Amino acid sequence: MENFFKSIERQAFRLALFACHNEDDALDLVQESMCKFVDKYSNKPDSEWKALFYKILQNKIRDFYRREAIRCRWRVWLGKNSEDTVSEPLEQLADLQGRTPEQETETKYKFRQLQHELLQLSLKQQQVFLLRAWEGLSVKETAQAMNCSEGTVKTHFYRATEQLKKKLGEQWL
Amino acid sequence: MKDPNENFAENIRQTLNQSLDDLDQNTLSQLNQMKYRALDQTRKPSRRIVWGAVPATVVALLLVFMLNVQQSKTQQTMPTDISLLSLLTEADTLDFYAEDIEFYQWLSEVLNDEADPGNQRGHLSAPLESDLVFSRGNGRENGSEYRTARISWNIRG
Repeated sequence: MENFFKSIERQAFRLALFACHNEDDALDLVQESMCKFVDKYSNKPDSEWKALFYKILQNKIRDFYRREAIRCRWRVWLGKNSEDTVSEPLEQLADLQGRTPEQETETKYKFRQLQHELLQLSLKQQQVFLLRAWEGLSVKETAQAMNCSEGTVKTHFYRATEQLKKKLGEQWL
Repeated sequence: MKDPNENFAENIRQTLNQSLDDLDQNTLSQLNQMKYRALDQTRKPSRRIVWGAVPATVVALLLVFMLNVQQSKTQQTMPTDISLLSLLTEADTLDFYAEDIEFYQWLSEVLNDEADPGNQRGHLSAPLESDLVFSRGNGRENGSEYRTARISWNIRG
C-alpha cells in the first residue's frame, strides 16, 4: 500500500491541481482520497487499486465542484464583490518553482504550454484525457473512475486529443 | 516511422512526468505526510473500535438504568395489587367472610335472647350443637345451612 501511494501521489496531486486550480485544495483532495481508499478498498486486489483510487479522486473532485458552486451561489446571493475572486484559472495556479518564464527550461515551457491547453478543456475531457493518456487506464477503467459509459470516455478522449493537437501545434506530433 | 498519434501521446506523457520532478519540497513533504496519515488508519484499528464502542456503551447503560427505575417502581406498587387480587380471587377467604357474617347475625340474636329471661334454654343449646357439628367434621359446606336452621330455631324458641 505504501509503495502504491508512493507511485501515485504526485500524479494524483497534479491531476487534482489541474481540476481545482489551487494547491491547497488539490492536497486536500488527495488526502481525502487516500484516507477513503485505505478505509474502503485496502483489502481489494492490488491490480484494481489504481482504478479504484482514481475513482475516489474523481468523486472528490466532483464534490469539490458542487461545494464551489454552492459557495458561489451564496456569494452572489449575499452580494459579495466578484472582483475579490480571480476568475482566470491560470492566475490561481501557483508558480511552483518561483522562477520567471525566462529562467525556465524548454521542458518547463512545454509543460506550461500543455497546462494552459489542458485548462482550456472541459473538466471531463481534461480528466478523461489525463487518465487515459498519462495514467494509462483502459477505457473500461476510465469509465469506472469517471462514473460514465465507455462510449462517453471514447468521445471525450477523442475530442480532447483533437483539440490539444490543434492548439499545441506541429512540434508536439 | 512512428504513428503521429503515438508520438503525440508520448510527448504529452513525457512532459507531464517531467513536471512531477519540478514539484517543490514543501508539496512533496506534505504528500508524504498525507500518505502516512492515511496508512496510520489501518495500523490503529483498535482506536476506531473504542470510539465506536463509547456511544454504544452509553446507550446500553442508559437502557439498564431506565429498566432498573421501572422495575423498582413496579416492585413498590406490587404488594397492594397482589393483596387486592388475592382477596378478590380466593374463594375460601370470601366463604370465611360469609361465615363470619352469619356468625355475627347468630351472635346478635343470641344476645337478644339473653336479654329475654323466658328463653334461657334455647340460646345455650344452639351454639353447643353447632360446635359439635363442626368438631364431627360434618363438612364446612353444610355448616352454614345447619347454622341458619339453628338460628331460625332460636328465633322461634
